[in-house]
Amino acid sequence: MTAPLLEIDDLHVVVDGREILKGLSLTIDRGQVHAIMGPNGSGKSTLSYVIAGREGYDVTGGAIRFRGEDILEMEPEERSHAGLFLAFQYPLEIPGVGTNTFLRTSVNAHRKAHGEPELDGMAFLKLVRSKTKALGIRDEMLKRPVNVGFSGGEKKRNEILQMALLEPALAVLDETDSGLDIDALKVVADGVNALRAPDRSALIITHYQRLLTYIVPDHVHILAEGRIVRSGGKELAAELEAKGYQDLIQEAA
Amino acid sequence: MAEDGAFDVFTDGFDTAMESLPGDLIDARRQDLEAFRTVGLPGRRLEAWKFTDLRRFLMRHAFSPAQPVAVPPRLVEQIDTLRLAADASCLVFLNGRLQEDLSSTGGLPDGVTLNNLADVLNAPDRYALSGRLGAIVGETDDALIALNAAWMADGYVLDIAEGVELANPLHVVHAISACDHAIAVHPRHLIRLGPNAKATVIETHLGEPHEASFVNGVTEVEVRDRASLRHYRMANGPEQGFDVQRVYADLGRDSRFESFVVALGGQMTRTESVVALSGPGGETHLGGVYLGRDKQHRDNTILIKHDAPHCQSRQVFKGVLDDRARGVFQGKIRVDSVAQKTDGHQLNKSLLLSGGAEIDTKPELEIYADDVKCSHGATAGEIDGNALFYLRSRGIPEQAARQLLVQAFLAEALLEISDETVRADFERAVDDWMVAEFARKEAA
Repeated sequence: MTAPLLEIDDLHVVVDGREILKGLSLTIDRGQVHAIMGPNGSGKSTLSYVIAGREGYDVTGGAIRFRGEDILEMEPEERSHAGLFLAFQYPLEIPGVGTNTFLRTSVNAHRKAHGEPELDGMAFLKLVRSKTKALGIRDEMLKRPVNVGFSGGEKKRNEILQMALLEPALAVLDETDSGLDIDALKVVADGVNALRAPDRSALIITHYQRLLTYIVPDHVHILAEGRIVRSGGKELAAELEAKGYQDLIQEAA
Repeated sequence: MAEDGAFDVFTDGFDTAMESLPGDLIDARRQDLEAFRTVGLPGRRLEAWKFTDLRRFLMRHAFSPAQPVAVPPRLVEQIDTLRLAADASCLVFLNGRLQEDLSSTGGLPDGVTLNNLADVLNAPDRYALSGRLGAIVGETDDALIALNAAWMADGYVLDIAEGVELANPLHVVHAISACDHAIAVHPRHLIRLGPNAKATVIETHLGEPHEASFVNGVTEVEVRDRASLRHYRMANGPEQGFDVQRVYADLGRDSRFESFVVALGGQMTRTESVVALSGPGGETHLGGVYLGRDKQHRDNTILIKHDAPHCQSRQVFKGVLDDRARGVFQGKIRVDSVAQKTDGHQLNKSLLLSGGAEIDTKPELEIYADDVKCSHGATAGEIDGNALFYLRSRGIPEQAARQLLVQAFLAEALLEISDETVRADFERAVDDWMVAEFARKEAA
């Protein structure tokens, strides 16, 4: 039997001396799309950062295994090479680094880690053009510094472009819907759906149900006060929309 | 009088050495040496040298005048790496003396006169220079200027006549090879552009990593009405090099003076620029990138004198300091009461890669006119941890991500270089430094 793609087991995380995740457990199998929904302050972003390996998060208990391997000792770049991807809620602006340079450095770092030859400028351009069209990303955007002067929608599309280029086994989308109008939301959702495959999974972290009408999840979990308090199918998202967090969390308690 | 040995080394042996110094300037040289003796080497007691204690840097070494040395083979290789065009005009100085066999001055257009200072001073009509040398520096009690005037042995004198454009840049290579004793060199250069003239001068400092060297260079620059000079410098001196370069520029009406210095080699570098905007509509852009590691010291000191209305000045300096390196930025904009409509801008940013690195930055505005626009900004900080995480989360290894962010940080300053070829060359030199620096850190 193969191990699940992602297995989070009784995870406890402390940030600045405060416990944010208090025994969170979650298992994602290959090919599945899971959604984690929760009110503000429930620990959603903490979970995404701990999976990606950001500094400043103390894991005081539990484990995260990716393909059966403990990732908590791995550097962020190693997790990325292993097939993890975090689409940021607030993608960083990096003045002075051209988007194209950034994307190519990233793709080549992955190729190098996997023992594949690096792509030259032309080969990379071909690859990137094969992805940008569907996402409505113009060449001009690739010439600009990473995310500098990008609109909210452009930043999120840039995240999805990176995901499309790196083809991760597990994509974690942190509030990817925030700040998007309905058209941008559709573009982003199409980008995610295009990547759905039997060996690829996604974890969608969101406050609202609306993204889930475009990316239909297999499983929905409700996160409250650092724990999953309820899990169900896609209908749970609709129930949440109807009743609100307050009622559902109380029911679960 | 001398309280320590720190300046005896610059006065001892003068009488003998003087015989071999060019020009019939014995009395003037003696006076200058006396002026130096009175003031002594600058140190932290002087406001302008508060952060760069030259006295302390130099007193550990017994400098003496450079004796003629054989051309090191490595120098020839280094000149090759500059990839100069076959017809490029290039002067090569070794320990301050022109190396004619390594230099080439063919291909200079009519109206361009290029000589070395020793020849000019020794020539029968040397008085062509009288009253000119030192005219732009002006009256000063500066000890290093006096020391330079006493000891100056060689340099270059570039004259460009009215309306003449130098299509290709002039390259000047300054090499130091201090093999068996610490040497002191006092180069003196003069660049004069007549009205409407145009030129680009690229200076490269190289050196062999042996004994200590002290270079006390003075360059005078005259840019007449509507003329334009671009002056670029790559300071990649020897490991044990102490390098002070003073540039005094005087700008005429509607003229332009652009200067950019990359300081990445040598124990101590100080570039001091004094630019006088003497005619209306003049424009000056001074930029620099300074890179330091170990206990290297990088100083940029600037005085811009807005002495006429409608002039523009712009300073953009960025640096990266690692280990216990120290940076100094002193930028002063002085606006005379007649200099209405002055537009002065100054920016200094430093990236500190280690807790032991330090930057002292001192912006100064002295404004006597009322209708002016002057701004300055200074920051010092570390690599942005959030940006670093973002890059690493995309699979870019930590050192590569750091390098990318440092390059991005410096890119803004390098963009100030208007000559694209020079910009590309300087970017490459900065990248090479960075690659070596990060490789060194990773190995440590």
